[in-house]
Amino acid sequence: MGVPYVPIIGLIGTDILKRRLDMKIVENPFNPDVKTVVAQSLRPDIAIFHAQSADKLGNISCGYDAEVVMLAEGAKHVIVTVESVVDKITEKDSVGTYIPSILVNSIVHAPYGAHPSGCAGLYDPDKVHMQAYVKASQSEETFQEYLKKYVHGISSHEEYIDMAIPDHIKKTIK
Amino acid sequence: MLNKFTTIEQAAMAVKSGMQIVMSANLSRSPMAILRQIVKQGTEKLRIVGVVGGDLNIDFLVGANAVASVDTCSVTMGEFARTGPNFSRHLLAKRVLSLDNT
Repeated sequence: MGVPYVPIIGLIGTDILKRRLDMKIVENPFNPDVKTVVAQSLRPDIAIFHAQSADKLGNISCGYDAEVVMLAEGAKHVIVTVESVVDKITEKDSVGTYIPSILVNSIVHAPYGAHPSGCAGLYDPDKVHMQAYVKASQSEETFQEYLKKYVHGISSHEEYIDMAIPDHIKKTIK
Repeated sequence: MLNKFTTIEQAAMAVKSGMQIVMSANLSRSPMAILRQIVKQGTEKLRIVGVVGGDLNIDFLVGANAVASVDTCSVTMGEFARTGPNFSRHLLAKRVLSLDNT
């Protein structure tokens, strides 16, 4: 929308304003007796999404999460990773939300790129991996071990697929 | 025509320390492959915005010490954890700033 800030009803008197440098209490220009909170518009440096598919021109079909279009419009740079690449996606044949190519800066073909989370319509979260993740997340030492195994010890996404994606998930994408 | 297709490594290079990053994901569509690369390349002090909410995506980056602040309404993990365990641990240790936007 390009507006510099938006007024918000509420928040006055809460602790939230103590830590929000992007929100201020101002006088309502139409009624000086009333105070209003205004919030600076969000203009993120980068938006990152994982989506079901892209076409060769860079149009994206992104499930049923409609907010992604607004976020792609608001961000300065948009990166999308996708499960598959197809010849053509129009707004009409997109499954769910359609992000037009003009809003996207870079696209990566990364099958199973959401693992160990799921990708709606294709595969569910990997329950065994997620349970191990939660267990590893209980302390700094154990999470560093997790990172060593799945991030720093892996040379590429292809190697991650071979090592970490179970067969029942691999069967979901042809 | 501009070819927008690239590698994970090349795409992740656009993400630099201190940047504000917005994501829309939960236990579906968390962009984990590129987040792993962002951690691997050593990016830190990210200012993360989660719309709507956050999940594994934010918890993972926080656990990897890549995040300065989190601006979202919740970091949950569905059936696996009520609150993201790394997010919770780092928040209690004051290692990440939470900017509640509920």
